[in-house]
Amino acid sequence: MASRSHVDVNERRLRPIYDCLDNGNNKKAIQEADKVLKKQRDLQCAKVLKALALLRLGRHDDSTAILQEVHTQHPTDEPTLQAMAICYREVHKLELIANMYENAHKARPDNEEILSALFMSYVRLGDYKKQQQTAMVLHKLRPQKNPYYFWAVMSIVMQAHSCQDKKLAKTMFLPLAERMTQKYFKEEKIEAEAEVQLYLIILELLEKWEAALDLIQGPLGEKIVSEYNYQKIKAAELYSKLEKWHKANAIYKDLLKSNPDHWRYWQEYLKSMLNLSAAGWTPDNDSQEQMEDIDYTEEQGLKFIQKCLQDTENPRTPRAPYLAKLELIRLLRENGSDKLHLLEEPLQLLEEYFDIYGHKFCCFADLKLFVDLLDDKEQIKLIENLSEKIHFIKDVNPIVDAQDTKELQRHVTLLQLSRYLNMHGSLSIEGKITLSIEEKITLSKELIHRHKNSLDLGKELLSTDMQYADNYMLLAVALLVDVWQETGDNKVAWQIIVQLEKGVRASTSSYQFKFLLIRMYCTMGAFGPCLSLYDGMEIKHVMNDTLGHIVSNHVTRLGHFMAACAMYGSMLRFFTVNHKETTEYLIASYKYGSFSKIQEFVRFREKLQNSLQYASATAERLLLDLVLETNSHTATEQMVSYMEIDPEKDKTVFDELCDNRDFAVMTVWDPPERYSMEQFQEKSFEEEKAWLRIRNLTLRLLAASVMLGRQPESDTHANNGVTTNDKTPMHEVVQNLQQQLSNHFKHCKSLKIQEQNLIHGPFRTRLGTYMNSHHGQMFVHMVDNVTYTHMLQEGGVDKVDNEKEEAMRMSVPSLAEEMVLRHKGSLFVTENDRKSLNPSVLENLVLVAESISHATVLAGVCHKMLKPMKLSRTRKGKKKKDNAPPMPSTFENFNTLVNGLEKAAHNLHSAMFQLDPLFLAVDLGSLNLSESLLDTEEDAQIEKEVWDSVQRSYQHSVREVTEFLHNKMQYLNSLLL
Amino acid sequence: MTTIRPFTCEDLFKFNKVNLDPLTETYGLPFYMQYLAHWPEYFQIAESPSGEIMGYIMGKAEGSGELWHGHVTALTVAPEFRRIGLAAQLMNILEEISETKRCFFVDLFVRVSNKVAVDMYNKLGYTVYRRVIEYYSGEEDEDAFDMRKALSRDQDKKSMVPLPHPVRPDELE
Repeated sequence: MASRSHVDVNERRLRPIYDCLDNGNNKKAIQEADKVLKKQRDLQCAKVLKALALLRLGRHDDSTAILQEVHTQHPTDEPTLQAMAICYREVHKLELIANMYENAHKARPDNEEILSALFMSYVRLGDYKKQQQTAMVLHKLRPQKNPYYFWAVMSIVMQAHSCQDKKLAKTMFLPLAERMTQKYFKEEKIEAEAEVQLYLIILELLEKWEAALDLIQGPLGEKIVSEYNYQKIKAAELYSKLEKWHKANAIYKDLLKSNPDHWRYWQEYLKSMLNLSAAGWTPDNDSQEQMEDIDYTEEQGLKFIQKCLQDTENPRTPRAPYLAKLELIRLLRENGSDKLHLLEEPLQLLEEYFDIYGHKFCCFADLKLFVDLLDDKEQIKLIENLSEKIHFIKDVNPIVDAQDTKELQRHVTLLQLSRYLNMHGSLSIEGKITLSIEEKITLSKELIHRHKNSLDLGKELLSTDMQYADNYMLLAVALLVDVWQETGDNKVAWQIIVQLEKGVRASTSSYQFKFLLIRMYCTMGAFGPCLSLYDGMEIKHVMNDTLGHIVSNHVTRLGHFMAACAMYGSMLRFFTVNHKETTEYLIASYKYGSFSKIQEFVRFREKLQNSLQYASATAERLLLDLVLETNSHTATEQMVSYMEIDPEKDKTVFDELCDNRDFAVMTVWDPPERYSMEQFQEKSFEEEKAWLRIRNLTLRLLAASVMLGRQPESDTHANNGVTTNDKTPMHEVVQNLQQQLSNHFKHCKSLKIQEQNLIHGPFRTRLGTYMNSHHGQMFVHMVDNVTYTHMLQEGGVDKVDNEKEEAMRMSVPSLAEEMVLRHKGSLFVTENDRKSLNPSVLENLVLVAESISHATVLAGVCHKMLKPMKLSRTRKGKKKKDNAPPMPSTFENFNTLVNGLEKAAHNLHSAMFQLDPLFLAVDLGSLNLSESLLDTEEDAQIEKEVWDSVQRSYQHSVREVTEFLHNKMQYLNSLLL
Repeated sequence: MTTIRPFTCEDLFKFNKVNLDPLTETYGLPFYMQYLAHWPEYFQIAESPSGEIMGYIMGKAEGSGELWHGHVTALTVAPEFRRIGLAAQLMNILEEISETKRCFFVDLFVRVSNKVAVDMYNKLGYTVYRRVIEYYSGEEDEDAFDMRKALSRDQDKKSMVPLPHPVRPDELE
């Protein structure tokens, strides 16, 4: 009793601290904790709660000091342990949680809560072996509690999952897990659904289909009730695996009776039926098979499809049975079957399908799957026949509009299909011809007109709905994109933007317009308008990973550095926060026995952690930080130490990078022969990786050089006051990285960078821009200067090498000069007496600005090493006035280098100013850079607004880049010796 | 024509077409993972034959005694797959699962302005049990209807008898 009341007293005393923490009042929490500690100096829990409050106030060092103290005392009481675990979780020191519970367990080996918390701490670490051991200790402690035993089993399954040697998984871990489960099975100790599920997982991993089937259909199968129809679906799957087609067929048929729209069931049903037919299977007269409803011939299959179609009980005719017929035709053709005559012609079926479902949004997606059953002639016939069915489009002079949304949608379906079949929409086509440029423009004008007139049909829609007419505009835009790409005429691009702006104004929730607009604006060099479009789509959380690429590839490229920092910042926050938080759900899965989710969660976390987007955003953000606000070398050095970069190690594991970008979000109706998104994405992924490698190497080289410059003469790293000699000397690290970068350039040259002809697909990286100019060369030469300077620092100025001196004086300045000259130019180009805007100037100049700033940082490193040498030289010179040693040419040559860079930066600065429309005193809108497609007031107004925002965007880029260059010139100025 | 199957984490990479709909909220990963870990059977996704995500339903079972019920947390269908009865199919699954769990009823919250959804739920047998004042926060707060449908265990449909007065969100049990 005495000890109990003691606990109560503590609880009462600590309560105010907890309350303050809960309310976010951390300062008060510290005061309350101090009050308690005055009375009870050694109350661990009060100390830890104070540490938590300190942590939340950002006072990490103070917090850590307290935690370290308490940690060494090996606390064992629940509240203290819990509070400490919270602290460690917030700073992501998960191994300390495990260590803390290990200590507590040693002191109180019989405590179940501590042991269970220890298990969970290993789950956070993904230490499956220790998980298993701990679960077994728990099991011995509480043998009557099943979950502990199965935690151990699952931990073994996870060891199989994670072990590199798949043979070991199959011969050791999984059989062990199986034996352990079997033991409980035989002793009839299996209680919960989760335990049966886990048994099933193991059997399936071992590919023991028979045993899995026995389990599912045995008495324990009854325990699986959560998942709807699980027993049936699983059994059918297993029968298919075992090629017991008659059994599979009976189950799928049964499932289809209650759910005739389930597409996968139809696929499996047809497959099993055809397999039975091919094998000439018939039911055994005496057996139960007679009783079961099995379809083993094509005739029976068709009969069943017909029956589903005529089912009058179903209020809504399901789409799947119609398409099952088409699927059957496809399968029969693949098998070269002679039963095709049983079915109608595909052309007829597709037309019938259009009659029933043509007015549904999804009709095109359904038809698309089967149009390849038609030959070229039939495809033309299909479009002709469908056109006949839509009466209001017969006359286009004048255009008659759809009277209701069903008519409209049927027309849209026809247009989608026409585009997909490469004959875009004209009504009477003689052969399968692509439209001429003029015809495309005419048709797109017609569709824009229809779009406008059909908006009335959606008057009643909410602002959160999309307009019925949206697709008219999107189809018109698709045609204009064709024209733009075929002619290369940028005037068309501006018209596309105007039309898209019109579309999005009429349908503010339609993200298709927004995606296309972002892409178009960025392609034309204007990032400004994209920010609000992007934010307007509420892209957040996991979408940062899948959709972030639509802006992250452009924002730096187009010189919107501030916006870039903010965007990379929020993307990176998503990745780091989630990596911390999602571990808790692994724990939850053990608690709830959702064993099937554990492997899924682990894989998911790996995919996020290895995301290309994550790695790219990290590199870009660090590179930006390094050059953006550094106008002196001291600032650069501070930034580098703050970044905690380990130049020896690449943070990116390139072989494990995952491409989580989603390109399926954009609707495309282009003919499939024109592109393959998978191929585009694969190639783009290769290019992204190559570019990322350049970025990572650049970053590491910059960091390593800055570190090299900071070092005292002795070439060893100081690490927490302890000198470690096993590390590679920094100058070797620099040389090594330089070598890697040069080698990588060779690889990049061999890489074919794809043409950007798919506006729905991935955008290129800056790799091409980088490789086509001397960026890489200049950087590598600048690193040469660093290593040469370092050698002088080590060996003294007597080591002067004339060739390298000459290189220092000449190479980088001339490369920089040349790059500026090559890329500076007017924002406008004149072709055939027509002015148009040249979007590549901006990108080129921004990249030159970046390269000059990288060179500046490296020049800062040289300066750092040369300055003391010059000082000591001068001092010596003063002492021996008579025969002062001549100043080596190095200092002068370095100054020439700095002057050269300064001059290049200066020239670049004025080249940037040339891009500012305001500076040029021109109004983009008045230049007639685009040619209006439609002569309407609305279009003219939108066009004016578009030009205004593009102009603002260019001005913004110019302002940011010139400010940035201004900083660099200041930086360079401070480097003169 | 649709394939309905359990939602997996992998689907989070691909559900953009559904989630870019302005009325479909994208939550932080913990929210989805909590449901996947606790009620995986209640989280189902519909996929088109070409592998596109058409929509999904997310729910849970909670409450004690006669308030033990299935709850629809989110139900959404991508614009191009609307008006083909998909939402009804997904709701049907959630109700079946709730039946096997011996729940008394299924409930859900819906914006009072979302007439299309309210009508659809009516058709599926749901009625307004009560109105919740300013349940949805945003630029302008909006009320919610708490709609219910009794399951077979609630033979007298006691759970559906509407409350006479609206309630505030803090009064929800």
